[in-house]
Amino acid sequence: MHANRIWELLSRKMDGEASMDELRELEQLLMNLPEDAYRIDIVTSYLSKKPDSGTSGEEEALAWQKHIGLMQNLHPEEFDDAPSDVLPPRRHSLISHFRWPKVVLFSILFVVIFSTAWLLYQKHASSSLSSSANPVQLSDQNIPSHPSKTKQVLPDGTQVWLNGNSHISYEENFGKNNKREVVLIGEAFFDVTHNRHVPFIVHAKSINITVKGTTFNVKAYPEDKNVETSLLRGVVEVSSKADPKRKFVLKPSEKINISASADNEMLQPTSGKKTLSGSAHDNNIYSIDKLQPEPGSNLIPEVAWLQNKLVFNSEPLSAIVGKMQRWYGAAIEIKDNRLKDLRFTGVFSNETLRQALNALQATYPFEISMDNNVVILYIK
Amino acid sequence: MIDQIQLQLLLERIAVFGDHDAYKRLFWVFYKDLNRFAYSFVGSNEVAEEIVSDAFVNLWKNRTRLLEIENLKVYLYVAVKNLSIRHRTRNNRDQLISLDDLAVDIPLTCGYANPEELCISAELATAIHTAIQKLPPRCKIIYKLIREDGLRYKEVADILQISIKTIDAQMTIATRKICQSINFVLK
Repeated sequence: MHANRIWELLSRKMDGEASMDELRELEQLLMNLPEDAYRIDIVTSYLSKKPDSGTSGEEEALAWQKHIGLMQNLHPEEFDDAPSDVLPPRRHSLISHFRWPKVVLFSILFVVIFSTAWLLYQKHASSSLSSSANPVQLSDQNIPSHPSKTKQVLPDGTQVWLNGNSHISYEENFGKNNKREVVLIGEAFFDVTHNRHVPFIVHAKSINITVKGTTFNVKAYPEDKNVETSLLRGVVEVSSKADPKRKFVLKPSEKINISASADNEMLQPTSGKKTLSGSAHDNNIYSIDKLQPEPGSNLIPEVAWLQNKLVFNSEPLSAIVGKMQRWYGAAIEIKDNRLKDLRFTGVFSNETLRQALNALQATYPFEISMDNNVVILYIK
Repeated sequence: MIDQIQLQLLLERIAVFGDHDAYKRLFWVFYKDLNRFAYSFVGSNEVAEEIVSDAFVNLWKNRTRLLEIENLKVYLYVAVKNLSIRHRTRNNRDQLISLDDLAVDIPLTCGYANPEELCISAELATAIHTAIQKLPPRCKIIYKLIREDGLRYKEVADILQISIKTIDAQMTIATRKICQSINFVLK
């Protein structure tokens, strides 16, 4: 009797709690029940749709008025300025409720205080986006970023696995107007529901990725210099926002790296730079490579994070250190330039930072020291 | 539903600057869900309203320590739960409150997606809602917190002091019962 297990897995899937293994198991179980698949689809999409809690707002307005009255009694010195005739803000006005300059000011403060640099980046990304030719409004639908990996299902059934500290958002009218558009900050793996008529577009930093139904990985962390798109199956089309006419078509098992320096050009107020596609610019802006599985484990490094593995295949230490900083949430610095270009191949999964560094050290004898919570690698 | 990042931003604005706007926004975002949650325990709208208000009074009082909070959502729900339980034990002297005798109310008219959009009939939608309404209290409170309020399993586990396994089991029951109610049974 698999029925109960199916209900359990369906519940977890609807609530975004299912792991990759559980989703795979569910797929397997459902494959044996083709006649029920359609009904399961309908019921689950109906049940997993979270009701919008922000209704008329009357109830909140009334409660807030009473509450602020109480606060004025309790803390007269702090709340005397609060207007007593608080008007209920309308639905969806929550974002405009923020005063922009204030938000920017706060962001800067927080960056200074909490070093959460990417909070600021998010504002930066969404504002630069809305000023581009193809504006995506500040998302009404936000899928929160979690410190660890999460899986989300978009309204069209597209599945997205978000890596740690990554964030994806989309407009409320996602899927309508013949457009499926999402904005990505960080790293995500997409399994896009096939729909020939409604292209699926990922905006990541300075590039747009257009797909029709496929599986691919996008890495666009704020602190990275480039955006990396790896394609597992299907076809995707990658274009830079600075030069939308120039399109790169990726074939399965290929990845493209586009330098995000095009960002800077894009942000210039005068975007009359038709010369961007000039040859001088082409040289260092992109590279297309084959995806190579790591020989020992047969894992593809680009998507190994899905299985909680950190894989690198003949990569320079400078790149590995970047990955390890993200993986372990630690600051690592290479003091000696000779170390930067050393290439390593390997897989980490449950190792601690110390164990991982020791393993690298065993391959090439460098020194490790700690200074103000920064790990420093050097040669004696 | 509010984004985790926006929530953190509000929390920091309240904690660091004593920002009234952020405080108000937080109240607006959580009022309804917390009110329904409190109602489950106390069974009175007026009392539920006071409890949520008190929870926010305490939050303001302790705002300088807000940054120590790991999860603001969980903090608010736990605060409301504790105030609700205190209210009940004070008035009824029933020392033990079981999740099995809560009066969870899930309004039928809450803004689920338009049934037509999802190609299901209005009758089917009503049947589903009736089934949700009929769930046993323990199951229903867990269902409400997860499906309606959008909390994670881990968060609900922390709020209700139950295991994730229990949540799994209860959500399984809910999904099965709802599907059964529309004569959708897996063999």
